[in-house]
Amino acid sequence: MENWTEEQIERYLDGEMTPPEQDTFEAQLNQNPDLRHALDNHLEVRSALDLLLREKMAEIYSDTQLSSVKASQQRIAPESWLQIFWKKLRTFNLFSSAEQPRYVVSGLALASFCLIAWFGLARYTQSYFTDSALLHAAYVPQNAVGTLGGETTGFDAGFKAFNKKDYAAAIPIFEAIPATDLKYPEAGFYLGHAYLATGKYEAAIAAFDRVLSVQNSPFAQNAAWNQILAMLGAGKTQDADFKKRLQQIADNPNNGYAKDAQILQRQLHHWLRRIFL
Amino acid sequence: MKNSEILQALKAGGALREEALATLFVDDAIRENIRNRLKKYKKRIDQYIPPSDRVFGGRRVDNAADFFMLEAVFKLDKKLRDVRKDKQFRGETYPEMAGFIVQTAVFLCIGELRKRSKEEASESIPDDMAEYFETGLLNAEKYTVLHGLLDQLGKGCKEILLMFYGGFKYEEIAKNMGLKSADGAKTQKHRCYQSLLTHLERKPSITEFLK
Repeated sequence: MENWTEEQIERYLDGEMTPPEQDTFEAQLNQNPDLRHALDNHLEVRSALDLLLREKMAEIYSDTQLSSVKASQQRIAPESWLQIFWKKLRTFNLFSSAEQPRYVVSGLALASFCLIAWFGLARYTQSYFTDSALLHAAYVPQNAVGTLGGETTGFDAGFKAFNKKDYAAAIPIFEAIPATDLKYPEAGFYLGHAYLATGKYEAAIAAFDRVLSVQNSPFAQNAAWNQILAMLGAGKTQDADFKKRLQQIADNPNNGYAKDAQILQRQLHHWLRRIFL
Repeated sequence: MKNSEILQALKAGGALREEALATLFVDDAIRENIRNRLKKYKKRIDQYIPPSDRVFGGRRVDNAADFFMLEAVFKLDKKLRDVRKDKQFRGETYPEMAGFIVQTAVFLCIGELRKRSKEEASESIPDDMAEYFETGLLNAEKYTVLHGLLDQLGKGCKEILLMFYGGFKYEEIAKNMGLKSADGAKTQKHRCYQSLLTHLERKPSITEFLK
């Protein structure tokens, strides 16, 4: 006997029955195969509706994935304040947005940073890239390593004074040695160093010329390099003669000062010198 | 939404349920857990359940872990609203719910692999999980047929039925559909449902096709 209705099944499956009603209905379900069959039919219909729920769920899932991708993109590549500032600057919109204070502050911070960096680099260049700075970095005071021997008038006295770094006393002694003396070039070598050490660069250049005028002088390489340094001290780095002499040393692999010359060339062409000097 | 609120929100249905689902779908812990559990089946999944077959709700879900997570969440969602006591989800806490999703996703995957590869499962599956072996690897044609059918039921029936089975209260349905009262929504839903029953009774082949 059918003591149930389609509507009851619908109410049962929709959870709209009261608990006592539900108990009664379930008791009937266990005893009545027809009711069970009718319920199964309803469940089949509802399984078709599951497709709708799946569709909606897939839509929610897709939305969350899109949001996640967007969020991760924002996490990966957040626009820096510098990028924002640059964009605003390019669109001439710097002072027209509601975020004006932020960009003004950012702009001022950027300008301050640039100013500080400019002065910092200028100061650094003054300390390490001026002619004087390069000279002091490259110059190695000459220790008297000995003489070529032989007796000559006054040379020994000058050599002793040079060793004691008493350049003021050594200079007139070396100057007094006549060109006819065999030690004239050697005296010129120490004289050049004495002038270089005391900052008399033009005189040092002339003194080193004495050494270089003698062929196969054992002091030639040292004199040539230190003459370059004297020219550096004298501010002659733009002279063609200076460039030529420096290039000759740098290009000669047998010259013990070739590496120093190459370093000096690089330093003279450094971008900091071009900008700040 | 906090984790502790998700289960209650899913049970409550409606807009809260949808928010809870969105929260669940971005739960990295659950996804990572499923991914780790499915790691050892990766080759077999790629062989027997290729990305082109990972279709959920008419949309392709390339990531296998996400695909089985969706299937598992769908099962959970159904169980939460099932009036039949033996079919209901008994968990009360978020960890229980998360554990259910992970375990169900793994069982669904193993079941599907077993079905497709005709091999014995390397992991034993409880007998009461048999109902999960049918995953929703559905083709687009089913959706076309279903939408065609629902469109024949009458104005707004598709939306009303979707909302009702998505756990919306009659009051919410009435508000969303512009109906005067909750009773009006109830009556309308009843009409739509009966109409669907009638249509499907007339064409049992469609019911069979949509299974």
